[in-house]
Amino acid sequence: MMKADLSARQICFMLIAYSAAGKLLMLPAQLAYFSGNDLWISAVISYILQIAAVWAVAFLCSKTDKTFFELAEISLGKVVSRILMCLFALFFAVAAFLPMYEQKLFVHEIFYDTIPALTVFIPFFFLSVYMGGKGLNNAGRVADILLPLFLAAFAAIFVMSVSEANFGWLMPVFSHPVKSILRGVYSTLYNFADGAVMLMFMGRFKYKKGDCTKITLSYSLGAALVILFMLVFYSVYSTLSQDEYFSVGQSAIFFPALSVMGRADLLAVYVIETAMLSGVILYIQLCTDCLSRATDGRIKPVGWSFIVNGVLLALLIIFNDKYKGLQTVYGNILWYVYAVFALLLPIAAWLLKRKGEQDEK
Amino acid sequence: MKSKSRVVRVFYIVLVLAMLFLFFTNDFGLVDIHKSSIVMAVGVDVSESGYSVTAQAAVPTPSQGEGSTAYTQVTGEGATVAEALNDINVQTGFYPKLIFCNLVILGESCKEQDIFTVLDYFYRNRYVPLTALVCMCGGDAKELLGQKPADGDMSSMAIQRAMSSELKKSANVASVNLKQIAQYGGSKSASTFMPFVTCVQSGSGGTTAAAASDSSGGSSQGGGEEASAQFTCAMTAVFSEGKFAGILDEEQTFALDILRGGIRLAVVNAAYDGVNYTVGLKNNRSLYKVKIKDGAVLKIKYRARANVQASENNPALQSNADTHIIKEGVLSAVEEEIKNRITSLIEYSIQSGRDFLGIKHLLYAYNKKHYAEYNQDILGAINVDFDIKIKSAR
Repeated sequence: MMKADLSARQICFMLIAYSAAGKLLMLPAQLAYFSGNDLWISAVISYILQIAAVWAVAFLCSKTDKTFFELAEISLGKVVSRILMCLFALFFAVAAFLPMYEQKLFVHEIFYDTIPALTVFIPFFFLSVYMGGKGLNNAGRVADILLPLFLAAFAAIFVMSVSEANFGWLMPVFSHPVKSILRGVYSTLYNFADGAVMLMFMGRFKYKKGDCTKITLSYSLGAALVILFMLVFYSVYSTLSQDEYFSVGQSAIFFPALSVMGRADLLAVYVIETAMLSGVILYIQLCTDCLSRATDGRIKPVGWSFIVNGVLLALLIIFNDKYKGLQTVYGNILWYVYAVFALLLPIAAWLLKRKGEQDEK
Repeated sequence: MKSKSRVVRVFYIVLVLAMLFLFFTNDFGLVDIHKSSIVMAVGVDVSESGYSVTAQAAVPTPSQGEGSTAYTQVTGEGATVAEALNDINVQTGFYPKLIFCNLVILGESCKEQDIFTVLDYFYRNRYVPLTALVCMCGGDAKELLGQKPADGDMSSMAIQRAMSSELKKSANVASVNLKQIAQYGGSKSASTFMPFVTCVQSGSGGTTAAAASDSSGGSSQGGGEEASAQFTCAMTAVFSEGKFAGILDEEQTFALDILRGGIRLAVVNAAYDGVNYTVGLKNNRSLYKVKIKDGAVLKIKYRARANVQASENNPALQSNADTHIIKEGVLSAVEEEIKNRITSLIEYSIQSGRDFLGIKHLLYAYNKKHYAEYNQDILGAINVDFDIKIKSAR
């Protein structure tokens, strides 16, 4: 009997709130740098690839109730399955690191600019250690709470931003060469680990008829929100977009009422920030989950959570003030890794045998 | 099990204490107000040593009765704007953080410079809000900031009022902020604009209640009867490729505002049958675009509803309700007046060869395939097609 850690609803909520929130921070400015006013085309291409990966996994869930690693064990043996668990753990640790670094920069610049960046961000690890050891059901419950708040906050930021938007700045379409648009796609691929996340949800929820559609549509809704935000963001800043790194914290500042009542938009930004941090923690939860399974539970997730968070904290200290270099590594080199783990493996999971010898007996 | 819950409890207490420690690391949020100042406006002049930057700062003071706004005005010199601001730090002991700076004034001496070089600091500094209004003035920005308006408020506040969004919505000022200047300047048209401030001394005016101190540290108490300054921003300075390109008069500024859109109520004076009518224009809708059809055509479409606000004859009280319906002749005169103002603006743009209307940007945005063909001499070759219709509001 399969033990369901999550419900399909919680997966949908995570794919909307966590996934979308994480792409509202740096991604719009990064895509504006590569693709200018065609940033949304790069985003659409990235999302089409990810939606295909998410759909492939969700559809596979309708055929089997096994996890990805169980399928790998049936087809490729226990050793390969363990190796895959370790590789995915490493991937999620890598996937958590840069967004975490970006959160540090964001929190420092927008909220607490007078306190040293590292000091102000370290409390994040208290939460991360705690939640990192709690497993996926914790992530699902947090998503239940966060989704409505995230949607309300997103709506508030959107309404405040759209009044300043001049959509004429998005013209002409395809003003940039295809090469630049594609460069925008692969250089920012490190923002898209959603296919891999969905692969980890496989076999962790009780599939019911129609769940594949619900999951795919939920992820598509998150994609639509992100692309909509990008359109408004570029329409607000146009040629300045690439310099406005923390897009979600900057897009509403021209709302006329803010000059009277102050930065009330930051309330909504705080909520979105919470969703972003929960998204980063989800990567850590998946990492500790993989490691715990790889060691047959000999070290529990909470133990791995201490180790993983300790390593991430050490890396954060080592690479403090080296964001540009890290971003270059992620954008120019590690995108291959993201392509494999978040795009190819979710689709390749269809090649694995879905019934082992025990099932056939 | 019991010891586990105890560990969790201790962990949470430690966590809360750590968070409280972080929260209170900013001196409990209290700041010594005597060491702080809030820069409300900055004036930039080009000097022999590079740049002269004047910061007008409100000085927070404990409440000491009514009607007192304390501010200080200090000037620093440096090779760059940033160095000049640092010089202010040296002179006064406070570092001028510009997070509340809502106004940047460029002195006349900046005409010779590339404005994006002058404004570079404001784009690089993350503390300067891109919502800050920008304008140019005749003479020194320092002198302009030193003027005392009739209401005794800070001059920067009076200048901001002269550039307010309400005035912009009535097409009386072409106000822009740092973001818009960069956007227009960074477009294919490479042209931008900003209000040109003029200051008129109105003799012995109102009473000032401001306490001002200059950079030498001395202070003078206001309060006596003295000449008061009145600021207007009805003219517009235009720039092309960062360089000063001329000044638009009031009618041309009006036309620029009409074309850029966002106008709520514009007031136009037009003569019909030798009688002056002042007409209010509501429901303004304007659209201008570049079309390529047997050459480049600038299509200008403008629609509005009009009502007479005042006329030299036929007072409303001496007539019936029909007098509120505007005669076709008056409407035609208003249409003609608006057309003339827009024509004057376009001719100025063509003659100066400066594309502050954004025609090249429109050509690129909506006719990209013709951009290479027409880009070079579009200002000289473009035909203008007017479609202006104004109807009576009643």
